[in-house]
Amino acid sequence: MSEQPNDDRTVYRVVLNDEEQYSIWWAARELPAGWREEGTTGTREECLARISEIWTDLRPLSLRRRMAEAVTA
Amino acid sequence: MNDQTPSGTAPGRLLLPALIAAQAARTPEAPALRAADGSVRSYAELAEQAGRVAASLRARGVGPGDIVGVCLRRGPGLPAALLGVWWAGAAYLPLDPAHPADRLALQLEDCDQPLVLAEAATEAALPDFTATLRLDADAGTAAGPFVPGEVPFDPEAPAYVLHTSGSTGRPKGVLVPHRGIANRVRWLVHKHRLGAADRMLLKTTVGFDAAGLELFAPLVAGGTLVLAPEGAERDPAALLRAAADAEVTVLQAVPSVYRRLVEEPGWNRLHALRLLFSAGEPLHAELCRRLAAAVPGVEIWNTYGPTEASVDVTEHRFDAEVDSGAVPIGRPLGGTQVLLLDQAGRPVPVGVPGELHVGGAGLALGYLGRPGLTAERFVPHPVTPGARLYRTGDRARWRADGALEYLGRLDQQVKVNGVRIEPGEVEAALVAHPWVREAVVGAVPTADGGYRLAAWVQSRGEAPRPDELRAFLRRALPEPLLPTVYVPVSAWPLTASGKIDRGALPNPSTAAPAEALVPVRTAAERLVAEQWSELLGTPVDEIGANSDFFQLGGSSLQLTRLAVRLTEALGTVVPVRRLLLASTVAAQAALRESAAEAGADAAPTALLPVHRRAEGLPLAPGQQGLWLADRLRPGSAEWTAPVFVRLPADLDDDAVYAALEELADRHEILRTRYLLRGAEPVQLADVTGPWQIATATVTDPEQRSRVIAAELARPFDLEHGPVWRALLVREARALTVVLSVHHIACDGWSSVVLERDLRALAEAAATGVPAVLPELPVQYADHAVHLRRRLSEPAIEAELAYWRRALDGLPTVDLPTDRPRPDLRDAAGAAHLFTVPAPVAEALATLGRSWGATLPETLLAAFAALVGRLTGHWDLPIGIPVAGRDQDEVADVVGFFLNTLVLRCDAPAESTFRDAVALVRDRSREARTHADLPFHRLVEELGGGRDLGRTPLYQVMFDVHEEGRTGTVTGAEDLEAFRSGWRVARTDLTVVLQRQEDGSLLGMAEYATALFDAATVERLADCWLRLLESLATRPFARLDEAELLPERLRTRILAQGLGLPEPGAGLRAVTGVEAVVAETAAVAPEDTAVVCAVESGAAGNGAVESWSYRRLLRRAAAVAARLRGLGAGPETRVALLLPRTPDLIATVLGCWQAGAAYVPLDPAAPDERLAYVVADAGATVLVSDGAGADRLARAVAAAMPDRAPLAVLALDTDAELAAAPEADPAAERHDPARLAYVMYTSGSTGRPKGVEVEHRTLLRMLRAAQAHLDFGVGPDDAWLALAQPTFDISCTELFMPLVAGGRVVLAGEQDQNDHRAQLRLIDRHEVTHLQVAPAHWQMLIDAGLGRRVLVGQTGGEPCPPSLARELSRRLQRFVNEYGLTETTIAATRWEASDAAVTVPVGSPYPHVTARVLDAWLRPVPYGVVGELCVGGVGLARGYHGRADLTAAAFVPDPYGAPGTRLYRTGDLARQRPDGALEFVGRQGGHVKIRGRRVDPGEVQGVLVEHPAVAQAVVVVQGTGPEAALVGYWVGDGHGTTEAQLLDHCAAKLADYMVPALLVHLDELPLNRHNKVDTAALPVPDLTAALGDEPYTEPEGPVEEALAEIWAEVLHGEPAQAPRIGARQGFFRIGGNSVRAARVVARIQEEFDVELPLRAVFEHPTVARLAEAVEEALRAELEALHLVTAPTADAVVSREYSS
Repeated sequence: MSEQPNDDRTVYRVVLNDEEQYSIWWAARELPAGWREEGTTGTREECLARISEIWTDLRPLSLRRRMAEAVTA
Repeated sequence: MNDQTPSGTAPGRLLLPALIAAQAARTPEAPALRAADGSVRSYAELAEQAGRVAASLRARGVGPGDIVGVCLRRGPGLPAALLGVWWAGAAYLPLDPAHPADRLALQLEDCDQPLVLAEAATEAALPDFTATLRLDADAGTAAGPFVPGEVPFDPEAPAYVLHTSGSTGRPKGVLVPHRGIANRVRWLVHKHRLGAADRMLLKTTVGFDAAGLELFAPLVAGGTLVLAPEGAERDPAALLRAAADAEVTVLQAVPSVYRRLVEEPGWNRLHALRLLFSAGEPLHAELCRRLAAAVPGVEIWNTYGPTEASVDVTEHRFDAEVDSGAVPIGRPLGGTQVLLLDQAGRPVPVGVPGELHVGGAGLALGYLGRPGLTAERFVPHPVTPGARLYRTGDRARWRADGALEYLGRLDQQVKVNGVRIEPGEVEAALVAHPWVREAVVGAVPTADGGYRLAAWVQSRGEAPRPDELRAFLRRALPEPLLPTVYVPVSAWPLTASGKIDRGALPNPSTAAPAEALVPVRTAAERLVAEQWSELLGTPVDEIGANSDFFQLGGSSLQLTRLAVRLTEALGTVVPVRRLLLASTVAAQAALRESAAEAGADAAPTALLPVHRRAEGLPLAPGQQGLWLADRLRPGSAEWTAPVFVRLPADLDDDAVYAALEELADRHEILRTRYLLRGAEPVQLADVTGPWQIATATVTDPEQRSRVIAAELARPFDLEHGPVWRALLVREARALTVVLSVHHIACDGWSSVVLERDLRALAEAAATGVPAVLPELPVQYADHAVHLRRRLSEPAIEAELAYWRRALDGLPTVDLPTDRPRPDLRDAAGAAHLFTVPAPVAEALATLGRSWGATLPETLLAAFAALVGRLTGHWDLPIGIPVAGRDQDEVADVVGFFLNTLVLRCDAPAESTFRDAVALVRDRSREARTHADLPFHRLVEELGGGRDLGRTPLYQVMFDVHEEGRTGTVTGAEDLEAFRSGWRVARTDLTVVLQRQEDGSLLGMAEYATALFDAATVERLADCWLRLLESLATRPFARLDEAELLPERLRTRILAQGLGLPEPGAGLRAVTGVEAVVAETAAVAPEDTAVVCAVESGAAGNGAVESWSYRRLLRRAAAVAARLRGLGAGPETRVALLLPRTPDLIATVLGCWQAGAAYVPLDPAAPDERLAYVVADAGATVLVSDGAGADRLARAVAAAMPDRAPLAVLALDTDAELAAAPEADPAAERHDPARLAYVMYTSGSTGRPKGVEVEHRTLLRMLRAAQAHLDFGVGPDDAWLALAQPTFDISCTELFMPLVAGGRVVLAGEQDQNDHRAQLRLIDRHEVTHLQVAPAHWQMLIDAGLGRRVLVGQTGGEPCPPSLARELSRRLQRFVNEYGLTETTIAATRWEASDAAVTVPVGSPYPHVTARVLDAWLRPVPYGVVGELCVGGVGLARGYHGRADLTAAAFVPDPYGAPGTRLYRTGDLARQRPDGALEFVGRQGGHVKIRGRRVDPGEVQGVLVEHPAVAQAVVVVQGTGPEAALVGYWVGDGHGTTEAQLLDHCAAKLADYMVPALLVHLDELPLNRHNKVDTAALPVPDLTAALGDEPYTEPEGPVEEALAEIWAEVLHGEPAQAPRIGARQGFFRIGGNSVRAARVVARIQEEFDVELPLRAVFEHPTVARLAEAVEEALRAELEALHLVTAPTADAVVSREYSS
């Protein structure tokens, strides 16, 4: 039951928003609106390492889409 | 201080007629006027009507140099007429239609019979044969449009002629030029940020100059002018109604009007009001307080100025915490200069009164047609050749902080008995009396040709008696300033302008006496009356017992003679001093009743009665503590213990009086007084009646609260007694006796005993049946003697050993307060009542029982959890009262038995509530077995006595009263009735709970009002209730996880985190910064965009390169074309390595036009770092010059040989660029979400991180800064750009001015560290805005910044409050900003005031949210330190190439729109109840010194407050036990020594916070961003430096005598004592408070002066104490000199004994 903000035992999860910006959130706490789970849970370090792997383009999704359209148009 | 610095001119050069025309063109549809009937006229309509007036006037031949009379009622036509006169090129002459025709005729004659604008209703008021133009007819129909500006406006041309009453009776016409009124109005608009949303009330009659301010300020600002209905200036209710109906935001009036207004109901409807200006009369703090209470949050400004200087010349913001009495008139407005000169025309020093002279832009041209008078009043400037000053005839003096104090008119100054008196000073002291509403003081002639000082007093309700007022004033004023006669006034005679008419006040000698004559009753009274009669010549039968010596015409000079006569007549010595306060016949007769002493002698053993010795008995240890406390703050009401006793309402006064006398007979302690015998206090039971018993009949609860408050506020005199008194409060159906007893004679238990006894005795008195009360085998003094014996020194030693261990390393509790802690603790208090609901109380009781804890223990654990959550610290000392009545004999004895334990509650944050309760239970039980040791002994032994700002050892207290100790006044309703009478706080916060019959707990939170506001304590109690609920429901959750914020408070705090819209902001970012700059440029392409200037060095002499917008954008377009060719486009990064030239700005704009982002490089950075940044950012192109390109190519190749070569654009050598055709930029629209720049921040750990910022956030920030700083309000606004382009504030400097259409003044490299050159740049290029770090501002001040009309900003590091105050004095505005690169330049900002005690970072910009959150990202209560988290649309995209760091720092925002992010800054902050944020430090920034938490910033703050310290930084050198604070300081040339500075620190800081070492530096080392470079500070040799303080020999007879006294007190026999040095700290070498009291007693013996005990605390060295003694001796001599005017030999006959 007891959660602890920032120590090794706290379980986090990898989360992202509609712009595909990634972050981490406490596994035991309700997720703020507009964010969804990526699927990874673990310690803070584990979650951040996972994010380093998958979030390779920091551009917001909408910008990526508009730039792709501009190229194809 | 006498301000010789001209303060520059008002921003811009525009005059009011042009500004209003421009405003009308900008916002034609906006409402300009709101008439009394609610109808609205737009700016277009106003301009149209004014145009027609102007055209009509021109048609009648009116032009520049002419004067036009305006005789109109206050209607929509009035502003249009005045404006029309201006547009026609003329000046207006206001003619009040309500004035008598004779006066109007004089005015018209004075102006050579001008044409008058009138209307049907006013034409008749004008003299016959006046040439008129009817606004409602002729001027209304004039044909054809009129273009304002057809006639050029001349700053020196008169704007209006205003007649002021002259002493000769003929009005003088003051000619005020356009520059004058423009300067005044524009200052108001800029300084106070008047905008479109503001509505200002026009209620002043147009014949007074203040009307101009009301009229024109809203119109210049684009706001609305609200016209008050006819006659509203005389009808407060109507005025208030008008202000409320129109939702007025700005109001100005004279204090007399405010005084009547504030009495009116309906202020709650004035919720829009934000600014109150007072002018015209002295303003008193008392009135301000009432206004502030009526409109919470309103700013109150006191302004001052004569018509001859364009309305106002100074202003001061009222500060409730600082200002009392007369509110200062403050500092000169921008553009004006104030000099105080003596009679010979020489400037006077600070503190010395002088005549106020005004110079500068506001100066009038002179008096129309009166050259002689003009020359007399407008005199040559003593310094500036050719300039003039206006002699105001007002007296003022400079305060040390640079504010002016108004002292009155020169011609009102009076001389009474040879003493020069400023009536204003006396008036201010009088209105501080709670029952005085208003007072006027003046000199009135006496029969013998002299003068005496009279006070006319208007009171609230019943008039205070003259002797009451005199006694009250005596506390604040020297004797010669006390008015002798007091005249009650029910209504003031007023002048036409609403000010008090001093000439029409009633004559004191004919004014009716306030009360009926009471015939003399005793022989003594008759004797006194006879003496008076002989002295004053008043018949004896006209003198009553209640007659007042001074009211009958007696003067203070006659007191000496009276004293001699009375001494003779009464046969007892009557000192002159006593007569001053005992001014009635009855009081003087009572002086004879000075009692002698009685006595006894004894020495018993057990708790048995002891013999009463004549020299008194010793005090019990607890009593002694209270006696000391009383000596520390003599006369403080802090230790009044009130006992409220309900009695049957039908009991008559006589019965109660008799019962009270019986009560005093029964309890010896009520007849006891306390005095010093030698160096020890003793108690002596020799006080006899009559007792102080009074009756008050009250009709409503408010009145009841008032009389009780007054009763409890009265001090006791321990030395003379009695130490108790009683007040019978009679209501319709109730009788309550308020028994006030000094705590030295009473405790909680005693109050129950007293109540029981009194009820029984009262019943006995009423029925005649003797009361049956328990026998008292002993009295308190017996207990005191017994306890003294029991607590032998060995017993005390054993207890001390326990407590030393238990309390080792005890921290202090610092609850989040509303105000900084005063240096000397202020015991004033108040109480808040709350209820813990029965279900919660029962749940907690049950939980506690199951863990083996009592309810008090359980509640204490929960209270400790609250304190832990609020302070963030979990090792807490909490005071717990214990009864201290172990023996049966004392069960029914009254006296102070109470003792206090210090409980260490140290359950950590992560423990569960259960664990916390168990721990508190054990700690509490252990401590109770050591409860005998008197608390004050503990204080003496465990130190803590040093900090006079806190209660020693514990700062919060907690107590629970369980069943069995109930009095008659216990219910919530009863307590509430008496709560408002509570005036004392025993600690910072004391919570007492009492069980109620229904199972709930009644709580009372008693708090120090110096620290907390009522609302804060209420919130605190609410938070505790929420916490209790949470702990009761989830007892196994961690303490730091329990819920703390009640829902409503949480909602409110969350709402405050939102940035509020700023007028003018809110443009959506649909494109990029470059596109907005192009739009701006298109409006005025030839305007100057960039000035690149060099002031210093060989290239200096003001070399200037100036680029127009067209040139800048064409160059940018050419660069953009080349960059596209090199592959730059959206999301690509272009590195810039460029010198500070206009090309720097052009290149950034070029990058953006090409769609790319820029990466700034610092030419001064090492090659390695440059290569790292280029590679890390993924830059593909470099823009530089030839040399820079070569350098970087080599660096990149060396660091990263494998990398593809950079494409390079060398601006100086690129042929293609040079050949590019001149063309405007292509109108290409780029995505607003694309990257604008990547800037590298030096992370505290590891490699620098590249922060990526998008165009949409950058543009929002630039717009927000523009709006907040009013940049571009003046078209000539210019920003001096000094920052490195690698620092994101450079974006504000380089691009915000271009977005707003202003100028960038780009300082070259040479000038970046040359502060004098920077000042020259500001002057030469008319810079209006500047941002630099605090240290840099200090250097600008040192370089001669002076006073400037400049908007200043700072940020990046904490700004010292003294600097913020100083700059808000010198500059037009001073703004403190907070932000990080990750939040795009800035997130919050705060407007500094010159009274700022702290420098918050303020509130979020409109597009930003800023919140203080705990580790779980939950909001924390006000004042509680948490992490500052920033959300909204101002956040950076993230860290380039560091997804993990980005994800960790930018987290989901639980409070923002769905899917938005929150940036965790890692900075600590707290929020004030008004929403403002205060920066506290970086996370983990605290250090520990000798086991105590220390914030070096706090120490630094104290150091820089020293007047001789210009700059200081405090850092920790060494680690662990070796850690020590080292202060580095730079002097300001005034000279001081390390020892003096250490003394200064020691006086303000707890011992462990005083720097171990001070190091003097010539200047502080700075890094490239002008912040203090702590790494570059020299590391001193601490071991050598911290050796023993060197012995300094005492010098002079006083120091030598004091050193001997110390030696004697500290070490017994002086002969064997170690020598005492002049600089050794008393408390470091074994002193404590008892010894300090002995020192004070010995000083009194030795020098015959009485020092307060705290003198030893405040001057803890021999040298400084000697100064205090000498000071006291001097004061004594001066007092003697004043009273008796002795000859010289009487003064010198006193020698210091040695």
